[in-house]
Amino acid sequence: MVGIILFIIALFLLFAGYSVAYTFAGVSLIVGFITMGPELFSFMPYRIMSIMENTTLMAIPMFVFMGIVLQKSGLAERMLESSAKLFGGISGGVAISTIVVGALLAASTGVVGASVVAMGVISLPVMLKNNYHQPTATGVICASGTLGQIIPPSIILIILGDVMGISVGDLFQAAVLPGALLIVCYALYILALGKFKPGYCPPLKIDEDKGALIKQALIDVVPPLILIVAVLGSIFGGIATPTESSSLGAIGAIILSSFYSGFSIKQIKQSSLETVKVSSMIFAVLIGATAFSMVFSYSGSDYLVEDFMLGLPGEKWTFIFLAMFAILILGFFIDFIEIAFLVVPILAPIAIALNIDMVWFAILIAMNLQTSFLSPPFGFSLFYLKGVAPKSIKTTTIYKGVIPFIIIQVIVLTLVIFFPEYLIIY
Amino acid sequence: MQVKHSLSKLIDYVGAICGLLMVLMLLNVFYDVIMRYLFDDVSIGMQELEWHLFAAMFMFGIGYTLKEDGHVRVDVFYDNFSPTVKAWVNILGSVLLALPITLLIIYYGYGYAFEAYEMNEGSADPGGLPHRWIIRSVIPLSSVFVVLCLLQVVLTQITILRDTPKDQSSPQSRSKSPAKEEV
Repeated sequence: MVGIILFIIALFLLFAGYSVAYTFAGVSLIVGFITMGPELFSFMPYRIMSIMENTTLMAIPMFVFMGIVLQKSGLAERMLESSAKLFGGISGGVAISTIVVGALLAASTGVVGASVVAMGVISLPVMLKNNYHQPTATGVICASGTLGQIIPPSIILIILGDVMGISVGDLFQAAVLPGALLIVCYALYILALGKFKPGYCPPLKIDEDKGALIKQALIDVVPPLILIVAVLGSIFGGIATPTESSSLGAIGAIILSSFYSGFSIKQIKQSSLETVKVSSMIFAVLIGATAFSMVFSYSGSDYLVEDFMLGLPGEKWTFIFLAMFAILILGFFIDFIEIAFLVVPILAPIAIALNIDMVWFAILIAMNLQTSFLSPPFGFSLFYLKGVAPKSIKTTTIYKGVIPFIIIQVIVLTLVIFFPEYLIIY
Repeated sequence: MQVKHSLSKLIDYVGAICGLLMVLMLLNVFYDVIMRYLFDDVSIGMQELEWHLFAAMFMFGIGYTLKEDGHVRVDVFYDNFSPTVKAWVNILGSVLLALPITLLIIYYGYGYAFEAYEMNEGSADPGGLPHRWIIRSVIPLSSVFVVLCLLQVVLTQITILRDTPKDQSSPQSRSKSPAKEEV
């Protein structure tokens, strides 16, 4: 019971806005100290050491670094500009190119905020100038920006793989089909919109020579595509572990960005400092979560939750529904990192006890988190777009715009829940 | 505020070292991958060095990130707080939440590192790195660094409290900062 009270106190304290990592660590220490004494925490160094030795998690800084280097090289801007010109001529063309570039950015950088900001700065003005339906224009950007959560190599899949004790390579592979299905459904929706509501996404007037446009688009898209194929291919082919291939990807990103914007030590220095901040933030949450989980499990609360969940009727379906619902709601308020480190470790043993396929369960969690990134009123993607959109775009416009995409998400999620044999392949 | 200034410089310096460790780790892993696949040559020592660099990078990076305000917060309400309230959240959080757990990690981490030193513990694998106490002592040492970073944060927040006129209570700009990295 102590653990559950602790969880609730910590969750409430989070809203004061102090660092999540230290809020959880600090509250756990106070509650653990009062109820069980300080000796409980003598194992902290051992637990920290096992994080320090964890070579799976080593892939996180390197993939983050790869993403930041590519982002600083202006990759997103180049791809968006050239593909918007290439596809702009058809109804819904700019929206489709936003989806395609969003998917490519997801696979190469995976930085949700950065993709949304880049697309909001470049694609949104183009769409608005051409009298796109405002909600559709903003919705497509928010939705495409969240693809980085599910399309490998995504940080959330690495964390889930580690927390749930499954192979990160398997998870990456299993995420490919659901991710692709999402992209296809987004694009189909825009195409249908172009057909039935042509006024929502009118074609652009393109005066430039078609051949030159195709050539420019190839120059901008093919090199990053090769990098993505090399990184993911080496993992899926069983040639390299995700950690090994993340180093290949990071070195490849340096080469690619030198090719586009020149080699610069200063840029590498900035990228590595950013990487230090992002990785330290993630591992601080992990250490905070460790303190929390020590108190939680030593007080026997994990069994309490497990007994409760296993005692529910409807076997695994009730559990899956409850778990998904809880994650969706928590995802509105707290970041995926906290959910992955704090909530998933409580759910994972129950899923194992219920004989649930862990890879499938992990993909469901990732897709669910992606949906909560997109959901009003607190979805991160919406805030990022609001931050860079022109003042004339109201928050309610963005809320309205993401609704069709949330419906698509829910449909794809439902398909993955009921037809894993076709959609989860690893 | 001479102390605060020197502290900030020290923390930035350590942050730059973390950045360097990050790049070294990347080169280390890349080198190991190339050696293994192209030359079929595996060095246990080099592979262990990978996570030594990784661990030192993020453990010391935690303090640097505190100073840079890079730790994730739930900012639904925080963003709308006045500078004074924000400063109090940070001061109280640093002293009541962050400091105790950090001191505890220093206390137990010291014993943990000292134990490895006394037993002259090394890697269990042949060809692995000796002197395991060095990487173990990163745990207490980086926590001492975190204490310094917390001190810098608290001093900075006190400056904000002192410099903010009492009557100012207007909330700051609403929306979340788009510049924040979200991975």
